[in-house]
Amino acid sequence: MSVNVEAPSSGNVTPVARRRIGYQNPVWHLLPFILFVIGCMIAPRFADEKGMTMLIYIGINAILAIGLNLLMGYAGQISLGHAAFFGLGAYTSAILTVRPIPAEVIPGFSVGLGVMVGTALLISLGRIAGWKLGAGVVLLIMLSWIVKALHLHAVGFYGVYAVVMAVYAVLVKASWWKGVVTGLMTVLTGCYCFSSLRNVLAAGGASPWTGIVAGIVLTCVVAYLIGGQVLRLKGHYLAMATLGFGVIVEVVFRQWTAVTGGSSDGIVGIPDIQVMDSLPGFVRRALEFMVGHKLDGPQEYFYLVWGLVFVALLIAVNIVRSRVGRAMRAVHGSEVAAESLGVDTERYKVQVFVLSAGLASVAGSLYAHNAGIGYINPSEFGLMTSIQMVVMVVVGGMASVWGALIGAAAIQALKTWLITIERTDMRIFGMELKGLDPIVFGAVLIVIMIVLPQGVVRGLADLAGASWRTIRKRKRIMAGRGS
Amino acid sequence: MCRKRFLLVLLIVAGLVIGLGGGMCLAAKKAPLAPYVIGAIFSTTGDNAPLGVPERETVDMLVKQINSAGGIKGHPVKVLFYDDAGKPEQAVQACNDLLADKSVVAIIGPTLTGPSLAIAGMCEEAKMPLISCAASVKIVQPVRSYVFKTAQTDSLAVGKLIEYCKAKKITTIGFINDSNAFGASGREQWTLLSAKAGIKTVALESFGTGDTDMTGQLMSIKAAKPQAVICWGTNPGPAMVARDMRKLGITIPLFMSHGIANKQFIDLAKSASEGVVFPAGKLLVAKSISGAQKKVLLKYAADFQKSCGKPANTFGGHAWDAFNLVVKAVSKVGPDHAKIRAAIEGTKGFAGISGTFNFTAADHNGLTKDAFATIIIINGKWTLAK
Amino acid sequence: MFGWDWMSQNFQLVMSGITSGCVYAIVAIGFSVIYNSTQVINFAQGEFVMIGAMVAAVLLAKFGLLVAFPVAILAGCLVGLLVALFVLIPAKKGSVITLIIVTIGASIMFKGLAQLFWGESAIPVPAFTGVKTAWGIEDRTFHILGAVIGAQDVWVVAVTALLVLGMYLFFKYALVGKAMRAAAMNSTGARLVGINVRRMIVISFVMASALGAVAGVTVAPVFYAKCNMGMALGLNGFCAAVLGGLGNFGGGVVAGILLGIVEKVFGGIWSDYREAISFIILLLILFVRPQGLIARKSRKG
Repeated sequence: MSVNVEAPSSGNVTPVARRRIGYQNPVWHLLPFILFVIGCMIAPRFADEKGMTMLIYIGINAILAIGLNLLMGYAGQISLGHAAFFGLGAYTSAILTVRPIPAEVIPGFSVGLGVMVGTALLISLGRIAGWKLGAGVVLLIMLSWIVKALHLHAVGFYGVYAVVMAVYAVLVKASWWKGVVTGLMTVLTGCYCFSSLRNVLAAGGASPWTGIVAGIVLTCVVAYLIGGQVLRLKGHYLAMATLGFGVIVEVVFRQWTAVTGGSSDGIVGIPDIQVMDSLPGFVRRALEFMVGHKLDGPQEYFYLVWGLVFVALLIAVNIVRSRVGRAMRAVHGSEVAAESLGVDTERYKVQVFVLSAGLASVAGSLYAHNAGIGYINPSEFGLMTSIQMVVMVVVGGMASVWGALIGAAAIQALKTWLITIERTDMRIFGMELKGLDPIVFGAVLIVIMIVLPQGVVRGLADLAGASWRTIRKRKRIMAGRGS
Repeated sequence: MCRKRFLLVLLIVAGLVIGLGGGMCLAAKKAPLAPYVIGAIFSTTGDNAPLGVPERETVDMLVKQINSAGGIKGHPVKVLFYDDAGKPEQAVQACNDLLADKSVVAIIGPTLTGPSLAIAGMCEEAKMPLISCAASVKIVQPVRSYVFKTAQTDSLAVGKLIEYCKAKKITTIGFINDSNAFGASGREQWTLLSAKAGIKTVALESFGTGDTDMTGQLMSIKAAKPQAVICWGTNPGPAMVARDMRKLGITIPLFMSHGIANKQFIDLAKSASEGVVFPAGKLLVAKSISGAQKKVLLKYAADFQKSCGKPANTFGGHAWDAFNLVVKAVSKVGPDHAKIRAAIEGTKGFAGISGTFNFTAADHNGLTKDAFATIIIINGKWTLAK
Repeated sequence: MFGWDWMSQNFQLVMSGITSGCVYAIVAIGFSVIYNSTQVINFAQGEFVMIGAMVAAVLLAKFGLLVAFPVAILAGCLVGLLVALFVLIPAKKGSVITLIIVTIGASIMFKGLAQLFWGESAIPVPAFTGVKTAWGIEDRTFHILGAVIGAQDVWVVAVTALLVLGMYLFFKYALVGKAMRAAAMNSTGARLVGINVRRMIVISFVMASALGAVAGVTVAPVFYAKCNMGMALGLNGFCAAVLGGLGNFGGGVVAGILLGIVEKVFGGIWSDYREAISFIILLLILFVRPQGLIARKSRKG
């Protein structure tokens, strides 16, 4: 497991070296994964319908928490607007699979989409292959689509956006010809995307997998564009900027009714993902064998969700132990020091931001396709959801990947418990128990940050370790030996 | 200090574990043999609590009445109340709880459209009769065989208002709506239906539920010079719109929606509520109407005032209708889900608080425009508008 | 298009923008007071306003202004004290993230508690001065150059001006004020000179919450008292504080009023996205010029 950069507040005096060996023992790494897989295999046998639903929600929240944990815990960048990425994934999935967008909105919508993808393509190509080469490649691809893609409505949009992009590129990249080329290439990529998206958007009905992938792409692009600017800020400014971003996106969800259905109806009728049909036969039979009977809707979905949780955990643990992870922890410890050591802090911060946004988007898509419900509404992607995600990460432990999973489970359990309490007729001081959610969550935040700032997992581990060492020390003293 | 902190942490974790276990236990209660259990999901907290709380109080009152009269053919009636706080995901959790309980015969509520749409699919799949108290037409269109609703659809409210506009020869409207689900739905219905009726909307504005003053939007509307203003929302927004309109000296007529059909609007808007016209259930003007509904309305108003100490309102009425529909069905056919569903679908001429219901296989709302009365506020009192 | 109608329409918007702008300004001052002495951004600032408004709502109708005002301020001070003692001081040694999260926790707790005690409906509050009608005391209106403002709006502006003046004098001349500035600039040095930093934290929180409560009482007749009014005010107030430069009182006031006006004018143009405009402005400012629009030549207290 990772070495915690922050000084442990339990005040133990064990030299760092001894801890590292214990933690780096391979068993410690594999054990949680093995337990995880076993748990997933047997869970459907024991859980009833209600339990399945709760486990699915825990899984979705876990993916969210893992992503946010990488950002907040390891890279130390606070984000109070992550529900925006959650929502972007959910809405993209929902729109592509269900909602035929009204014809008059399609040009603008697909242009916007296409232009964003074009920008991302261009920037990434530019970084990998150099500007000239990148521009050339994109131009070649576009040439074949120019005639077909030109549409009268869109030209005005394209022109204005091309100018804006060129100006932006100039400001950011500080070179006028790059700006011009950027603008042009963005326009052309936009045309391409517009023509290929148009049919899908007009009819809806794309496959859910397309929705998930499209959601990831869109969210990562947005995260990249926003992250580049927002992550230059520190501390409170960063928190407020992300909060503002989250609110702006939520307002867009609510008010752009032509595309998102707004807050009145949300999007109804999102199809379930036919998980079993997408898997090869032997996997299907193996799962049925494990569970004992033919899988029904929620159980299929359970495996899909927790399969993705597994993937997210793998990614997270890998990153934490890789060079990127070490760079992130250096940034967290002291950004100035990291910079002076040659770590390209900005790039790593943006990378982690984009990754956590992508994970949030996957979680959003899973949320939208939730078996049996198929409904989303803008109110589910607002500030309170962002705060709930922060609570999950904080409770579980900001520097612990598995902590994120535990945090998600704990918060979901807490919410279920609160519903059960509010259902009874208990009264405290004569007041009916209602609306306990914000009070309890607020109290949890405060108490955890004061008593256990490293979160429950790391905090418990530290305390257990400290208590164990104290006991051993006392034993040694009592046995007559020095410590 | 270390020890203390450790203990504290142990306590927290233990609390979580116990809570989880306890939650599971509480939820999986033993199904009683005799009582008929009805599940109820209302928004008793959150922004729309003024709608959900009267619903809950109404059902409370009705349960007491029924049980003191011996229940349904000797079986007592028990209601499990859940609060969804206006949030769809909380309604889903509540619905899960209820669906897992095998003794629940039907679910009434939720109060709001979002939660209703969220659980409609689940109830349909689980073949559990669901009678929602929410307004949107999308709950019953496309028709799901197990999903009904008792609240009047907002398209009916819009239709009634259009009727009134036509009667007063008003052809241009400035429309402003609350950006929550209720207001947004009203706006959607208005845009659809007013175009067909030939009424032009010269200004379209919206305000946020947390907004504190509407001057900007009202100035835009004023500049467009409509003949009347329509405001679609739930309190306190419309009260602010009314107040700001009077303050700005905009004297054109102001129409609203059934979202303001409670005393709170008059309390908030004070003198600005004078002359406001809106469609609402006939409960508010029960004394001035005639017909089978009148008796039912007056009895409900009197009962509610006696047991809760405040005047009844139309939102509580939706719950009254839902509860009584279920009770009627159960007393006719017993606790079987499919039979209850069929009984409700076959209900005709049921005089309820929200209107007279005539359900069919294609119409799971059962109401027409006549469920509404057009009401005008004069001197802080509701009177039928002519 | 740019005729007399347009001018008078926008003038009206400017006038009503000043009212909400003044509230943002007071909230911004509250942020700056706390930031100046503790380097902490108090996310619960908006809730202080809400508490003042709710207390006033409950008391004003029955007991009148003379009772409601002091009680509301007391309630505000009490809440500020609680937050400082039980939330801030224990968490002070944590990182920036800790402090942010802890104040967010306090903010949502207060909102939940307010909902539990006072219910979720909006409560009408009688205006300070006004005409007595059948419905209670209602606001008087004045016409100035074709725009309409209420007497309560004038009260809001007047109270804001008084508070700003008070703050300026306090920090410039009172010993406690100077001590707070010292504690903010260099807490170790301040301690060496004998200034009790913990007490400074408490004092600054109590002051900020009292400020918020005063704003709440004054603005409740205009905005209606509702338990969720704090969030929007807090966020907008923070935008104003950043725009004017965190810690800069004068800047905060000017920025607050400007923000109120821009919000109203934008609301007149494109009301659907009006809620997002203050955040869009905030984001733009943060990207371009994080130290705020109004450059501070010297560090004012």
